[in-house]
Amino acid sequence: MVARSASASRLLPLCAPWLAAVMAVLPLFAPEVWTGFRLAPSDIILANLSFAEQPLSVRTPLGLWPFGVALVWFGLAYWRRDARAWEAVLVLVGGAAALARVGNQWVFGLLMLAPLARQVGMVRWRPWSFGVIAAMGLAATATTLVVTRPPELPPSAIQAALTSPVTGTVFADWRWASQLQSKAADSRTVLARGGLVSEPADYWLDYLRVTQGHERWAALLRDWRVGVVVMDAAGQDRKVAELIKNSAEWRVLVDAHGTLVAERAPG
Amino acid sequence: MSVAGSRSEPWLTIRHLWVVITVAAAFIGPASSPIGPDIWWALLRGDWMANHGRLLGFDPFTSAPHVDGPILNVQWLADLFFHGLDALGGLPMVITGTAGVIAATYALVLGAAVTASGHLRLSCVAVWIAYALGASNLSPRPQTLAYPIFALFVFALMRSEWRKDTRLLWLLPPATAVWANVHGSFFTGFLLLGCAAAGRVLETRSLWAARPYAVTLAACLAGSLVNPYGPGALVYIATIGSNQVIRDFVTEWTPTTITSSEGIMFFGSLVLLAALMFRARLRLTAIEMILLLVFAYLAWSSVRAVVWWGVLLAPILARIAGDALPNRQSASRDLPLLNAIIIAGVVMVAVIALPWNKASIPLLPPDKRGVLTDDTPVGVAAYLNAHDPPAVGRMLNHQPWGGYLEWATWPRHQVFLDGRIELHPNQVWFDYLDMVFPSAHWRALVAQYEVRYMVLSKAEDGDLIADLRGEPGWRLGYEDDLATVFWASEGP
Repeated sequence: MVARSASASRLLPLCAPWLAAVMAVLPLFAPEVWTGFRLAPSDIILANLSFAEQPLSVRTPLGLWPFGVALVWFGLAYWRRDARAWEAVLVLVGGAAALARVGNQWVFGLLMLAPLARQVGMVRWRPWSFGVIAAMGLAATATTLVVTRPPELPPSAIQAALTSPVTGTVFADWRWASQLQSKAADSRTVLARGGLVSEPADYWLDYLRVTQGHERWAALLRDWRVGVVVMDAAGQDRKVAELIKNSAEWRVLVDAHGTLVAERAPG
Repeated sequence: MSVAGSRSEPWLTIRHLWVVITVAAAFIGPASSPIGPDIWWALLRGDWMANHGRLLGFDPFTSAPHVDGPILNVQWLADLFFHGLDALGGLPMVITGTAGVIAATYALVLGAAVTASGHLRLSCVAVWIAYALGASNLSPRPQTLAYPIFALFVFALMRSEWRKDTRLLWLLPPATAVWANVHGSFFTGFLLLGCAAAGRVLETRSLWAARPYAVTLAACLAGSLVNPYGPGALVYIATIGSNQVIRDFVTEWTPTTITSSEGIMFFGSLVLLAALMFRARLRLTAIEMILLLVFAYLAWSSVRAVVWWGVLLAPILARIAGDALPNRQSASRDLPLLNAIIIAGVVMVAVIALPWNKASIPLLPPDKRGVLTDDTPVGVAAYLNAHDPPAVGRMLNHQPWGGYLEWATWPRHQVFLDGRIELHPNQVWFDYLDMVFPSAHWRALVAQYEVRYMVLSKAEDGDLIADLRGEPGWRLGYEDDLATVFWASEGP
């Protein structure tokens, strides 16, 4: 028992800085949880759809967190005048990746782990301060996850979309496309089923036009041979949802819980 | 190189050369640049006020519905200044006068950097960096007139901090009184003094030690009330800063990101600063730390604030660079005649760069010889000036061209919108975007706003132009490489 507690007391100073670093960078992984992790530059079209596709800014949800993490590392290193070249390289590379695209923050988080742990490990902390860091990291992670969580697709909408007899592709809000495709299996083709990188740039430009209620929205849906639409009528797609409801070309199947499902009307 | 040189200096030293090149570069850049998009309504307002002998409390230049209540023009003094330049020598004089203001700004920044660091050459390099950071934001417009005042604040702070000379602080309240009538950015002066006071308290653990800055700040706050609107000017600034359309749709108000050249410069300057901080033995003071944090945040939050960051950064950068980099004394002998020839050459370049002269430089491509940018709809303005507007109804115009078109065609024509976002309710802007997008409702909106003719950009309003080409009730009246003008059928 005594030996176990002795080894634990030796391990704690070694592990605590790493645990603190993990907790500090944890919120940086949150933005990509719902859409899948990838490393890419920001895209001017996709940036209109998802904040994770935008370059990092102070207006990004919790956008100051990565800045704060970098500042803590810099502050500790500057205070002690002790930073290794490898630390600076990791911070710069990770920082550039995060600045280029919010969704790349996980790379910054990974690369910051070692520099942050090293700097934290060289400071004498009171035990409770690690608890504070952990609580802040968890709170920031939870907040980011809640803020960035896509709206839920009601089962009735899935049912209506997949049982519609109308042929053609399904044009769904991009956050629901993969879920719909997995339910549909091979019975239907859902556009953008593979996420934001699964369709060409032309598609996303048309997608934006449609969801923003462009004058040619109906023609664009015809061009993509769309038979069924599944829209976030309370959020990103509300403009086109209103147009669909008032269009003779479309028949509404579900209009509830902020979701609109419609099929192309016969004739 | 130390500022304090030897007593037997030649009459024209290499140090003079550094100063002349630095200040001249700050003049040549703006003097040789075409005029920007945000000056036109200032010229019109200045002209109107000069002709009517009173402040302009409404907006006669745009036709879109306005916000309720009187319109505050906190830039009225800048409007008159630019109008004066225009009356003296037209647009070339506006450009030249602005270049002079910018040269004065960076001369003050140089003074601040030399005061902080004692190193002239490093200070010059720091000023070049500051200039590069602000280069995209130096066109003729009211904000530009605020730069030398802010630079004066920075200079006064550096004199106070590093020379223990607080006399310049007395200049700041009257300077604020001018600033508050030139541009709404005068709050950055408050911010600077507030940071200085906070830093002084942190350093000394004494509230009393912050007295010079706190008293100056209070006097500046009082000075800012010396304007035709009193405290209303402060309310106006708060309104602008929180305007959703301005923050989301106006490029220069959007956050600074690494995808823009300004962003690359800004984040690059942060890396440079961090590297020098590590290398230097001296530590930044609490005042410097707070200033850097606050103004870096400001610059990151909006592209238009990067220029303030540059002005503030220069003296701090020069000071730590002076400690971080080896201080190489120049071993070469000064050659006054050679220095004079180089200075004469620099002055000649500055003269050639003036807008009156650059048109005759054969080396410049034709599109760089004028005072207007390539995308200025000169042809459209000429066409509109040859045609009367319909008896009733409005023009819908490509918004970024609004300023130029109103300058070129008012009062015969009245544009729908220009770059003054705050003049119109947000819904007007959303409707404008719906019309030019064009959304499925564009026809209803065109009818609602009684639009009878449209001036559209081929590059940016292509979908609406395509619609109008086949739209019954509309006909093409004018077309060039940049623009089209469509008239409702009953138009000219």
